[in-house]
Amino acid sequence: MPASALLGIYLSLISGISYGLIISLLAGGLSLIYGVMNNVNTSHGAFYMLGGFLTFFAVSSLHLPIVLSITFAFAAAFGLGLICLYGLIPKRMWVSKDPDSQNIVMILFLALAQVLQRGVFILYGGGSVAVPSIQFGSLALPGDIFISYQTVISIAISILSYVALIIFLRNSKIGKAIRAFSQDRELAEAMGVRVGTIALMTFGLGVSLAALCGALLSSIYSVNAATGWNELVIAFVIVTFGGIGSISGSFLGGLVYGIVYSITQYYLPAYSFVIALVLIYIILITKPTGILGEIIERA
Amino acid sequence: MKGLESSSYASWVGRINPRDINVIIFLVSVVSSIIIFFADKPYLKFIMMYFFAYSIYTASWDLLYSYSGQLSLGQALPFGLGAFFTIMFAQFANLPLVLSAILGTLAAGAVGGSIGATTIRLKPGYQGIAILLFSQVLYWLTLIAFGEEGVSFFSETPPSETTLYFTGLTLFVISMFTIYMIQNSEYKLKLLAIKGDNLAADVCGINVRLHKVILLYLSSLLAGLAGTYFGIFISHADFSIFAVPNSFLPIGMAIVGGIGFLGGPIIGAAIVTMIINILPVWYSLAITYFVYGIVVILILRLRPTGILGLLQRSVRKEKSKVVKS
Amino acid sequence: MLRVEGLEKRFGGLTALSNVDINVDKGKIYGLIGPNGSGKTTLLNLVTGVLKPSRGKIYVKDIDVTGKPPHVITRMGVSRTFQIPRIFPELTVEENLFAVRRKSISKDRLDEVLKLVDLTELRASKAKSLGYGQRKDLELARAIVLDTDLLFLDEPMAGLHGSTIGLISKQIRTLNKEMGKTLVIIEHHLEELMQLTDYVFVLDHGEKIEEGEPDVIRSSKAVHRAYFGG
Repeated sequence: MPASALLGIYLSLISGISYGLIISLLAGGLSLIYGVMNNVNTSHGAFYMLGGFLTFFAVSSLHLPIVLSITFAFAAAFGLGLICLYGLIPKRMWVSKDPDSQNIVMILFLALAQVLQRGVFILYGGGSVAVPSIQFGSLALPGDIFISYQTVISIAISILSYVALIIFLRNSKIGKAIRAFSQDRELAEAMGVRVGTIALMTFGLGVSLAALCGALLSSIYSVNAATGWNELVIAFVIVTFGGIGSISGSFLGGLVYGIVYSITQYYLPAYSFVIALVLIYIILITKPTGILGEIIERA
Repeated sequence: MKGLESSSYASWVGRINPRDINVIIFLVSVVSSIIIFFADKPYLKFIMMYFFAYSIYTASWDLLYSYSGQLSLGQALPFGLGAFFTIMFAQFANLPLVLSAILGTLAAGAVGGSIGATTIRLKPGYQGIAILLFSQVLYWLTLIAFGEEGVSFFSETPPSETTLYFTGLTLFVISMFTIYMIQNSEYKLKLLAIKGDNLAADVCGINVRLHKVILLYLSSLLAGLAGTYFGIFISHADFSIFAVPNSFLPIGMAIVGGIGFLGGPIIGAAIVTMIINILPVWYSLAITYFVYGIVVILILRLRPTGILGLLQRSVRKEKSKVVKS
Repeated sequence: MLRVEGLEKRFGGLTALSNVDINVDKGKIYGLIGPNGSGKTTLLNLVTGVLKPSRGKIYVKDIDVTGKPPHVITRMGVSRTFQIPRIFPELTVEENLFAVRRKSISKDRLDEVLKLVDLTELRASKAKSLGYGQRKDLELARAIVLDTDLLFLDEPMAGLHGSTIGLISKQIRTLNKEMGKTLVIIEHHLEELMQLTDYVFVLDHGEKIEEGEPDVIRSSKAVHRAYFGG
């Protein structure tokens, strides 16, 4: 293979995998929510978009330093998530395997996403906003390739967040309660774990991860009020590929998405997103068992 | 739900019950449409064309959801395909408009149904998003292929406003009639059994997968028909027709009007079409849709049976009053 | 009527059923018993197409139905009830029957079946308003209306007491003697079952450990060990 082609693939891989590693945070949040609450958060992409705008707001209106702004976005999304779950969804539907209930929840979240999007549009118009980088400049990689410091930092933050999430789920009181609840709900409830608390914590955590992802990626790309649906769909594909409820699976799935995306990016740049999605979707449909979980219903 | 008369099973099958509120709503909308045409207010006529398209669109979504339990979060897929295919057939293949419309609708139904059919094996929560995935795929494909201008329909002999209007009305009548027949057939029981419990229905000899697929194709066909008409009277289609808010539109309309019965989508489409055409006069489009989203949430939470539910309740109250007196 | 050969079902690392052979002849009432977790419901799910076997073959009326979906197997003459009744909640009682009936069942026949399970008065009520016992009746009626030769009952007496159990036994005998149905009944009410059945299969830990007429089963050491240990 000619050197230029190798270089091209190398470039694609770097950008693709970078993206995959960061977007897997979004997927992790979605996976967490579905795994624990059995509900698909169709407003997940909207929270991603909010992450970008909350950060922008913190930087431009509150004049917070960038790192603090990102933290603000994370925390604000958490709070907003709690409010939305509590105010929007009837409590009996918070954790439910009943398809009718799940459908209604999805519709409610979809409506929420519309409201959030339009709300942001009313406040900020339709233009894109970009969040300043934590560190400007680029890192030189072998082969005369440059990767922005911001990208590297974002990847690092993403990986750190994953680690923090896993530690939180394994060691903290609430984390252990969440895991116990998702494994055996009756037993957990008998031991005093309350559905309401679990649901609120899980949802808040899930959407704040989405917002964090949005905060990070809006410094590399930009966001506008209509952003979020691509990301929701990518997250869906990653989650089902990696296994529902599996946090590490989302990470792996994000990596896989990044690789597939980078390959299609190299050969067909204009259609890369579309092809990556459809490819993975086809794998989902034809291969009955996911990598780390079974997603297809029997009968 | 209309119960069976004692000891005569499904006596309502195949009959158009003139006292059924859905029939009344349907007739009222047809009569109103005719009156509005002769009232000679061009802007109102234009809004009515939106109504024709959107009511079929909404009914297509509701049919799929309420009668097979499948939630489509990407109904814009067949809708947009209807518009695109029709305009492309007419503009690029130079086919006569009527033929283009027929082919466009069939193609939209075929593609939408086939894509939907691949989602059947996914867990219920994921089926909806899978279809949304494809509507996003088409969003980007059409953006790349046709740019922001999309495709437009130019003709030296465009259909007259009268033709357009009454075609819309005819399509409305045919579609609603078809849906009403399904909702009042023995087949409806099979569908509701499937919706009620997939596994139990399968175990009772009902070919669940087949009927789910049938409904997917039917729903896509109707949405495609709506999109075809939409594309024709707007004479234009672009990538934004596949945007998620356009998939939310029929959902919201069905919820406002009331899901599960024919009258709901009609009422919902009528009200929302009026709102989104009238409100922007004073407020911006964004505020209009913002309010729309909130209204949908409120109705879903507070009056989940929608406006039709309210009407049905008052009808029942009236009936019991008559009985008592 | 029904034949199962070398049937095996694994879920990941767990083997729910291993190497089970069963033969069901026409016209008899069979029992399928075993301690909890022995694989009875798994066997039922396999035979009715709800699950696909990991290994083995299933024959209904000498036709290989291994791996076929439930509605196909039902059409071939096998119907069932569920441990926790799965009725169609939004349909009325009579709609529940009307929705699934075979064309061979006339509307008068539907009335008879409703009478048999004593649901005639509730016929226009939505199924979701029914109590537990009534749901079991509805499920039974629905299984009858499918007009199958073979009927599986999954714990028909569960959660019921006293005279109701006697009624169920009576209904089962009617199904067998008057309607000519072959029945296979999963049950934990062992005494009632022994009196009802012609032949019994016993499962334990996914294996068939015994089969025979009720007297044989009653005195079988293997069965005692499975249920009571030691």
